[in-house]
Amino acid sequence: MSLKDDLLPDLEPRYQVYLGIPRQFIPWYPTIDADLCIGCNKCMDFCHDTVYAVDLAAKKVIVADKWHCQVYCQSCTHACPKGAITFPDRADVKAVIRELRQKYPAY
Amino acid sequence: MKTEHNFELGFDKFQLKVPQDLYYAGYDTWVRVEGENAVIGMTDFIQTKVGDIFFFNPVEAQALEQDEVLGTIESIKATVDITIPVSGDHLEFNPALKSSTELISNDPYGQGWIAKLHLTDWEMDKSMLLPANKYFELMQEKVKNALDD
Repeated sequence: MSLKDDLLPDLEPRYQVYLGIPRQFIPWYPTIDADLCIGCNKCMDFCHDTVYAVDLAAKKVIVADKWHCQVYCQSCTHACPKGAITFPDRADVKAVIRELRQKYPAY
Repeated sequence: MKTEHNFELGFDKFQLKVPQDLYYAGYDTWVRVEGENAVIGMTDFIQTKVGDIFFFNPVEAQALEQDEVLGTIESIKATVDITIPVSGDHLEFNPALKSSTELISNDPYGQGWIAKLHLTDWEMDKSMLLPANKYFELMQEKVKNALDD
């Protein structure tokens, strides 16, 4: 199996890999606490990678394209006035990425 | 474009430089290795994202691991985390940024450096970093995407 075989075909090329590693193997993306979200859309306004979308029925923001999230970017949390957005522990994700680096060599 | 020391790309009002003697993280920070120590900063690309920076808030730490948050910068557009590209201890921040945060944008590879530290895991950290030519390719892609937005 090559790197190309492991890429998600439905993702735009710019979102398919992170440093040569298939993006979908890296568990870095936001989670929104729906009970805290007030649907202000400030996270959507901040993020240019269309990670977020609006659930019109619930009048809240949802994570629509989690693999669009830039690895280690969590600056959208600063935009949320309610602290509704959380991310995985960086150390855990780093361990996963370093393990994947063994399979997908550096440039 | 490639000059003697930099890769360069014009974007909007910016002339974005990528010095060839540095290593880069995908999240737009650079590291200059000086023996067992290193200097860290943000790349030219960040100014296109955040605009004028008016505040830098460093974390309170003496040591950090690669990919941890080094601090936050605030601009008129947004508050953005800065992620550290290498692991190290004896961390010290650029004292000039207390009064002159514009240095981060105006001289990102010189007087606008963010922090210095003693490297503790350089060989492993390096495997997760990009050489200048690869980061320049990534930055070109980011610029293209910014133009498409």
